[in-house]
Amino acid sequence: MLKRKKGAIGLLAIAFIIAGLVSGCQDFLNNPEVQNDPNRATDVQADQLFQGIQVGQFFMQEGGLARLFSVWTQQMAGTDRQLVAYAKYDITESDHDDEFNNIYTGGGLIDIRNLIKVTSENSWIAYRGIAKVHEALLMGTSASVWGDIPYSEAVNDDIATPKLDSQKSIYDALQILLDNAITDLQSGEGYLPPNDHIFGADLSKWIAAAHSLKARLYLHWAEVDPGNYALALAQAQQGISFVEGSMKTRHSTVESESSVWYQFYRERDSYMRAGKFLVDLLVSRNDPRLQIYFAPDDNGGYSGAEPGEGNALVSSLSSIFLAKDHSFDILTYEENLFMVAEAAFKTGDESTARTALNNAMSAIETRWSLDVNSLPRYDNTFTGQALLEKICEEKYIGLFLNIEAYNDWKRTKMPILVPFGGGDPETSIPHRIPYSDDERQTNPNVPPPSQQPLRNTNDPS
Amino acid sequence: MQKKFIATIICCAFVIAPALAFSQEAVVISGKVTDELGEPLPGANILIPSLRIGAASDKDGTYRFIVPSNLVRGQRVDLSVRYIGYRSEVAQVTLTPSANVVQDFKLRVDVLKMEEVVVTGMGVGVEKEKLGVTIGKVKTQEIAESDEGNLVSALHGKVANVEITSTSGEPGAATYIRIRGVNTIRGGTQPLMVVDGTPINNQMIFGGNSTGGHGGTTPTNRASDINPEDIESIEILKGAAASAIYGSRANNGVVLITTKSGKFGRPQLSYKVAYTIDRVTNLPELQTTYGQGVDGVGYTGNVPWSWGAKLTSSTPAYNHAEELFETGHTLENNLTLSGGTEATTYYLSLSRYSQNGTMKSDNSDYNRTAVRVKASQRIGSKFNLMGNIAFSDVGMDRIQRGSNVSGLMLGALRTPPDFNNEIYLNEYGFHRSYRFPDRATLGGTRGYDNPFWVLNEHLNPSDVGRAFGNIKVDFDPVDWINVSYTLGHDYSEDERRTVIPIGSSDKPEGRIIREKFNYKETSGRLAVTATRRFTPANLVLNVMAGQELNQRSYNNFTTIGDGMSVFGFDQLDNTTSWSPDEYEWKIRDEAYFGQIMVDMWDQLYVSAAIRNDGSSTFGGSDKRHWFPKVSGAWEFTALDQFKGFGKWLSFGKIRAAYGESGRQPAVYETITAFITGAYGAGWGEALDATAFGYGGFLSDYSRGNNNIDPERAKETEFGVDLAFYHNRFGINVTRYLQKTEDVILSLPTPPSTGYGETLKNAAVLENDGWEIGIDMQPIRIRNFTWDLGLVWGKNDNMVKSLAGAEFVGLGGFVSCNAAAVEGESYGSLRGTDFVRFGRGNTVIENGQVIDIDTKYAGQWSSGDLYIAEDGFPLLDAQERTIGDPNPDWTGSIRTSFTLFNKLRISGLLDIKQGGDVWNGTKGALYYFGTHKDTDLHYIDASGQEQRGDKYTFAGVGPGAGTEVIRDQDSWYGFGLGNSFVGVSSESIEDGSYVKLREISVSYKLDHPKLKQWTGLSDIDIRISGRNLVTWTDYTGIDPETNLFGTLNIQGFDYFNNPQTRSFVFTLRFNY
Repeated sequence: MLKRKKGAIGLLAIAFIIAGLVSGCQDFLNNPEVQNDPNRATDVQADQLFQGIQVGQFFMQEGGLARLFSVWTQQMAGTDRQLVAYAKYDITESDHDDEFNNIYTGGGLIDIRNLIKVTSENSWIAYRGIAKVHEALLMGTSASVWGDIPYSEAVNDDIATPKLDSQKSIYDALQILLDNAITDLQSGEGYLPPNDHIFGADLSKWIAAAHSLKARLYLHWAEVDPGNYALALAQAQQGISFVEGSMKTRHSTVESESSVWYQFYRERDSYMRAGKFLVDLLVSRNDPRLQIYFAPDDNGGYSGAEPGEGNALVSSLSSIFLAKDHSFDILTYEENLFMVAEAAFKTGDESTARTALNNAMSAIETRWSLDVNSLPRYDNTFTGQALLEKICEEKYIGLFLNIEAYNDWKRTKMPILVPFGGGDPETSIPHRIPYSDDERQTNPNVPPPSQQPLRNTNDPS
Repeated sequence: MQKKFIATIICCAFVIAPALAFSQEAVVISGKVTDELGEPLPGANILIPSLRIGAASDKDGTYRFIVPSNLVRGQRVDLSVRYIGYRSEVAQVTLTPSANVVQDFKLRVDVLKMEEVVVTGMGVGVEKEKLGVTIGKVKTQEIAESDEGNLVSALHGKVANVEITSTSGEPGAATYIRIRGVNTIRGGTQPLMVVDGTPINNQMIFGGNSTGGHGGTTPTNRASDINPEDIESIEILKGAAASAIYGSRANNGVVLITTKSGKFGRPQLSYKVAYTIDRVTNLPELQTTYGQGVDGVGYTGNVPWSWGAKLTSSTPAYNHAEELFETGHTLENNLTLSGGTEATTYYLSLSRYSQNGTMKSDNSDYNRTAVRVKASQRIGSKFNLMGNIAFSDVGMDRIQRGSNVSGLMLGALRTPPDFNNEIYLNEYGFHRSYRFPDRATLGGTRGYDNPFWVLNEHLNPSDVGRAFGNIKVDFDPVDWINVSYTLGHDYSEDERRTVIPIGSSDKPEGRIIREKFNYKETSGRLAVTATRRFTPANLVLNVMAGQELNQRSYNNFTTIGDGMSVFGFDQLDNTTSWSPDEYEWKIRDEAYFGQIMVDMWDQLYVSAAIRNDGSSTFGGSDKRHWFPKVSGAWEFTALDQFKGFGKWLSFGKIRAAYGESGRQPAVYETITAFITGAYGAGWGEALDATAFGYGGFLSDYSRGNNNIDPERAKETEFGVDLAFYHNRFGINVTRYLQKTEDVILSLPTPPSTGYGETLKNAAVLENDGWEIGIDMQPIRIRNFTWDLGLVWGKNDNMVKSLAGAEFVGLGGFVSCNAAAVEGESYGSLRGTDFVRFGRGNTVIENGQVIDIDTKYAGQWSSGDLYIAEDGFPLLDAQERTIGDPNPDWTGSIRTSFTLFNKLRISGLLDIKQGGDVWNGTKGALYYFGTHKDTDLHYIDASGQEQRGDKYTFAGVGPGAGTEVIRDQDSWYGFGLGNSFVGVSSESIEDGSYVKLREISVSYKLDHPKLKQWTGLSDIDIRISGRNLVTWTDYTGIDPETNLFGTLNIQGFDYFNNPQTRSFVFTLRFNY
């Protein structure tokens, strides 16, 4: 009997311990110590978003697209591995999915919209204008590459599968966006970010860049509607007007801040070399940019690889372009001048065209500290088609490693390139790349690669 | 030895009665336990259950114990004997004061080991015959005979549907375990591991420069810190029906590890010394005919290919695979001391395991020093205290491997045969590689590192301190109630250094990475168990209720230092820029559980359990969830109707079970947040958002969700266990059907929504399978026994639904990725293929886009290649499923012969049927022209010998039937004929294998003179071989390999380090 009683006391004690444990553990699971993520932030400020947006923009402008198109325009050559496949125009839908996804995901449109929201809420109007120019630049580049893409329904929590907007409607929307951006910038109102890595929050530079960007976006449609030349000319004339007004990416010698090109070469040295076409062109012109763009080959001379030729023994990029802190062009003063030249030419004003072209030559000399007149000047013996060809050639050389060189080539078909395997460059060299497989597989609005158009609406032939 | 510690505590409450001075009236009970043939059975448990007094039999099978006088009342009591592998016996004896009892036992063999006590979870031990589920059990001897340093590897081929993959032959390499297929998408497939009732850490951390698991160095899995010598048994709860009591961490099954304990009796001292020699097994075949160059023209310098000129006979040619390896050595020393009195038991072990790998390097080794102390003490008649403390110090030096320009095999196998890699420093004393042999600078890339540079100059040490301990208190207020509390802690700190010296291709300016990984897990478990017998229906009722609290935390500090200033100074101080990183988490679980087990008529066993589980990782979602299970077993041969069949059908049981187990969301993943990220596109570049002195944040790629339920696996299992012919032939068959619902995954969403993934309970997976185990003793005569066992398991896995997503990527390479694809088995390998018929492909013919299926209707059958005008097939830009890494079935055959109880010969054949491996190594070597298969030539029109072959592709299309020349340009190198830049499906191979996993011969030297002369009771001498032969059609290294370690991404071979075969010589001295 005694034993039983003891047992009962024991049981009671256990029940007590359990009850104690239960009551003591009310917060066991809900304690902030285990509920808050120490590794990520849930609330960030405008400047931190702006920082992410800018670095994302730099990655977009000088990253994989620039590499691919530099190979297709034969400024560069793909000489090893996947880059050889790209050089042979073998690309799959997963090859550039990071670039496509970055349009919208973190640092892309979603955060630009976050920034526009925060700046609006705080009435930081000019800051908002900067954000809008970033959006127009990002979406304009993207629409030029992929054509019809999600935009009006993108980054909207209520829309699970954004539709594709027509390329034209996106460009139209971007022109309006840039007009609004210019208005915002002109207001000069509100707080300005300390970390504007492009123009140091110099609003006049932003306004000029917005005009240049408008001009560029108009030009993208000139093949379809020549009326755009006049529109482009009007904007370019309000555009970037001096060398320091150029939009460029920013880098430093710190490894994690170094340029994408440097990092690509650091990891994949043999994958890319000088394009034979550009090397030969520079050699034939005796152009001093040969040494600026490229490094000597093993024989001490300059050589480039043919399209699709797996040959890493030719010239590589120069130490200038492979410097960790080299800033790559996004939208430059000389591009603006080339736009003026082309648009003026197309609207019948050869004199303005020549002046702009020669100013571009002079700007490039200044930029690279070249001797005055070490680059050609074009007098009035250059006229008609010959002048246009020179404008296109100079722009092709001048916009080295810039995505815009590919857009120009698609539109003007100049310079005349011989594609890998010979044949017609218009059918051999791709005029668009497939949508990201990540988007295609999750968004029923995106057709499979075989049903995607080969060319974009602004580039019908 | 065969007694299980926990089982003992729970089932028998206390085996050994209090030490009491015995008086004149005490009764001595003694006797001898033998088998049917009269062979003594040492270590059998003899017990008077009603008095909880007993002993174990000695080496000669004799036993003796004393019933103290105060318990001797002239009563009749049951005296039972248990011995694993034999049917237990019960004898009735009368305890009369001063009348000693002599009782001998003759036990009958039981191949199904139905009376073996297995732990079914939460410390509850149950005899196998009562189980409603199959629980795999691996015991001391099997672990010892595997001769594996990693206890997970010791499970190779032991249990049906428990798939074990040693990821490489490197010292300390991780071993992957997968039980009954995969039932999650991204949740990890490794089971929960529990040591003596306390969950432990089995993390595998890549760290270093591993970039998503395919580069860097080989990681280990933390369970390998445990000294396998300390293990008494490993039990595997395979599915939800068995593991439900572990609730929301048990979806992958549970591996219960029980360590050895001291036993009542004189001190047992045992010393083991084992010496192992390791040799690499298969290496890729390389050509030595053609030298460095392109298109048949020889070059030196920065030309990566070996498609150059034919080497003259005077040019020395090197085999760049074989030259890297030598014989590896392992020395293991193990000392254990154990014993006990009636109140105290103790177990102490010391071990040192030091392995030097097969690579010609001083920087490839694994050294483990492990100490374990385990002791128990009875306090009074109601308390028992057990403590178990283990410490391991593990040092590893690893070699750069995999997809990594500083990887060993990558640089080695790509080297042209005419380049001598062994001279890895050039005339200036700088790194010399085949692409940059003469660099006059310390820094700068070398294309790929010279493998001897990798072996001699790179450093990748990892230093781990691991402390594990638990304390268990048992309290028995009355004889039918037990209250136990277990408090355990597992701590490990892994400190690593990665030195990529200046002049290495991965980081030409040098990089030093310092990392610390710290893991802590604390768990406390309270369980109250009541067991009562009732006379009606021989009813035994066992009720248990309890609570479990668990907290685990992890933190990782990393500092990457770039730009080394001087060579050979390997601290961060020697670098010029730094980027620090930290990552940490903390998780808490709180669970309540209850279980009822009912035994009726000694033949019907029913149990039911329920667990309510709460976890902090649910965030804003409901944190608590229920997990039930129920099972039943009926030993129908206990019916009177079967009594006469005893000889032929000696045992028969049918069983069925149902259970649910779960999986929590990963920590913090329910939260939507901003990250400090970097931009990159898989080429190795990383542009940090935080830059130029400003912090940068961006929206995370994944969106969280505050409405998440646990993943829930619902499993039904049924089976039958039969033993025939005096229990000499046993078979068990199990069928299970498992459905996992609400699988948590970051479901791919269109990136255009701003998030590439959104957390959802989205997927449904099914696993169903069969398991068959056969155990027999075909021959059993005096002094000779032949045991034979077969294990066979088949699991069919199917991703039933992904909530609309076509597939979910799991990771991999640019050219081949693992994915969960709706309607396919988990882990499908995806990549590019050729344009084939029957898939709606379009191609361009004469400038026109045509649908090939329509245009060539009637000419093709599905899967045929489309042959373009030039006679070659085309690339299909759409990625597709190209392989399935899951085996069709796995099995093993093990056998042993025992002569005179002294000589034992045993062997294990391990079989895997099916399961694709992506041999990316081979694809790359085609591209580089170093693979043996590229040693081809044909005679061209001008009569010249050219490298390549003439071939006509089978298929349909404008170029069908056209003979083409396949050479570097058109096919093997820059064409589609390699998975490197071409079509990834070219490298899919069947990874089936049969391996002679273990073979061992042991002899026990126990001549009486030995004892006389040395005092030793016996010496075990053993010679064994591991992985001696592999039969496979796989053309790469061993098909048992995986670049991604224990990740869900399986079936990848990309410059993996090879496997090893070993010979082991073991001496064990028992005192």
